[in-house]
Amino acid sequence: MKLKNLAACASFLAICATGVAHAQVKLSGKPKIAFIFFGTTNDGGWADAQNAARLSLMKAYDQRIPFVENVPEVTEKVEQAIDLFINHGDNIIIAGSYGYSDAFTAEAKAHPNSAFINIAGISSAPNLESFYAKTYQGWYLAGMAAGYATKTKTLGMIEAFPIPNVLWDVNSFALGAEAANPGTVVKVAYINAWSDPVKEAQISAAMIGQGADVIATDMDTDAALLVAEKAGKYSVGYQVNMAKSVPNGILTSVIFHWGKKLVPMVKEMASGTWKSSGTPLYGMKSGVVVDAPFEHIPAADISKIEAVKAKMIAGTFSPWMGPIVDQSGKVEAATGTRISQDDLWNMDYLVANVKGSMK
Amino acid sequence: MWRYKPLVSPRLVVTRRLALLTLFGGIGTGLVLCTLFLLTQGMGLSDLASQFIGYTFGNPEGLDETLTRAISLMLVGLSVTLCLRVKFWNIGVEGQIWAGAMAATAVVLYHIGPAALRLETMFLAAMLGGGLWCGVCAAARLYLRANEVITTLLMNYVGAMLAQQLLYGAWRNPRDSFPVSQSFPHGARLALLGFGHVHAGIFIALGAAAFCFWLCTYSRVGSMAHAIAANPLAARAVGVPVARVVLLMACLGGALSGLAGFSIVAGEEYKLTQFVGNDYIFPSIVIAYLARANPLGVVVAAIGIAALYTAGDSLKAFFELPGATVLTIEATLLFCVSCFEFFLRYRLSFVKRGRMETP
Repeated sequence: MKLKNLAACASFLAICATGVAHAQVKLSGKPKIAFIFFGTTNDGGWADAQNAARLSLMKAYDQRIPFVENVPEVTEKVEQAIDLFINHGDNIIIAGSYGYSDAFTAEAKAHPNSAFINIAGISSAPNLESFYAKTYQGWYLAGMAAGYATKTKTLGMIEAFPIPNVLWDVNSFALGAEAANPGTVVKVAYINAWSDPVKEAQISAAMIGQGADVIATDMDTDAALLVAEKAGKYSVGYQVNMAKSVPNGILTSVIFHWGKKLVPMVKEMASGTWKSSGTPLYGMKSGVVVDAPFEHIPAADISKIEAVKAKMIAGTFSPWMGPIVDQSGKVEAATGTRISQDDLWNMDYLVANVKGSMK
Repeated sequence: MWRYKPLVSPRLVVTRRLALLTLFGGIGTGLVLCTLFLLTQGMGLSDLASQFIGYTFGNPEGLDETLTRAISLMLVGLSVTLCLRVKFWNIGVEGQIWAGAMAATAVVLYHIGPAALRLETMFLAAMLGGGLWCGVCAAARLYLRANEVITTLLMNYVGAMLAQQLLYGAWRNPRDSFPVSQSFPHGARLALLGFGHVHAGIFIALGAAAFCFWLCTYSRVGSMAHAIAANPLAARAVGVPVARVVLLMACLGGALSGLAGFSIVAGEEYKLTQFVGNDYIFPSIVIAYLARANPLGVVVAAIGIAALYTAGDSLKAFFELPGATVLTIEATLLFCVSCFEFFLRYRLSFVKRGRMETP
């Protein structure tokens, strides 16, 4: 509740303060875009997927889009990177990191005639939108695929931090696996970094040792999957289609197409009709998050997954429909109810068939 | 055969003019080499001038970034300098930054001391933390003969690991379980000076430089340090309390790095993050070396190196040069300056063959 509500209140107050007439952002000139990346553009994951959006924006708007890589989640460094671009005449700043949220709030306030987008951030302002994808939709279907593939009924999932928008990935993956193959458990471990290939590989090996025969990574690299491939196990990739790295064991990858949202957004910005939607989630319907083609499972299972996907896109199915019970046995959503988006942003539990703790 | 052969002989007296000549000769040669290097990377001379001089000093945003960055760089440069004055190699400024930053954060989180004196308490706690971190290594050298290059270096890891332990444990942000401390309240933040991100820490850094200059040049401790650096055995023989002076200088040096940690958390980040102590060791040594361990020189060198980083950010963004470019430039400068020190210590002369060989 608190986190999301705070953000909502803050943006509401900010809109009130500036008056409704200013709700639409007036750019300082023609749209000039710049990108800030947390990792390197060839990291094969998070930054790679965002760089793909940068390239499609370059094509769509016929401009060279400058970027900086490897900007850590340090407010001072992020602000310096933003200042650098604004000073250069850029007026649309796009980045993607949860830990950039404070810096983006400060800079959005300081530069009202620029537009700011922080993918996976949690702060918003009249000229700052922090959108994210309904990754749980992709993970639910990937969980189904993993459930159909597993022989040991044990899946392993490598996570970054126990924060809400990561926990919903684990939970939806586990719910999908349970739906496809009742009794399947998901072992979870946190790396406590967005990217740490050495640790990811070690934990992957440990999970395989404990009987997991599908390894899913929710990290910025494919390190965990390479270990699984070598051990002859199945993998689920993330962010970009990781089939190239692990062709023999890949089941699918939950992938981002940020450009699907960013390209039309910039068009609105150019025409002066864009306004921040706060911290929205965009789903499979918009194409921002999708599953790569399912592989290595029987065609009959794939068609079952596709059927659920169609219902998801139509809005008649959600992974968050009850009954959902957490590890302690507490009912988070009763039969016939559904976990709301606000409650998703405050998720602080793991569902019953996840093995692992919140730490 | 050559008629002349080179002869290297140690210098007994070094004139001030020669010292300056070798210093500027080293820096000048380094700059020429760096210019050539950047020209091979596809930059033009006019680009270089606009990036390195125009942007870093001539532009308010650039100057803001340079000065803000220079604050912590000055403090760590002074830290290495004070230790060098007694031939104590402090390779551990990052550990001392961590210690200072953690001590200052602890004051905020546990409400230590009167609320009205929060910043002052943080200031003292940070000095104490950094001083202890370096003092332990000095004591180990004096009483256990442990080489300080090794101990100070290893204490960096202890500092970083301890910070991680706290950020993933007791100090983890309760709002979203992200591994950063809670944001500092306004009473625990250094005031901004109305010029971009430049904060009151700049007065701390300049004050520290003035104090160090007085300490090294005019105080009794400074003279004793001079004697110790020249010859510790002789110094002890004439009654200089070697151990106490080394310990004092090392603790003061550590305290200065601790203050750098304080200025980062209280002036820039307003919280403890996993990144506050990163990437300071190399620049701290370069700065102390370029300044020839002169506290006032440190101010100039720190601003110079800060400008290099500012320009480096811009090079990364607009010329797509890798982040390693700045490191290469720093290393080239350091290398040239230390090579030129050869001429400071030794006289190179050419003598006619024959005359000396056949007596």
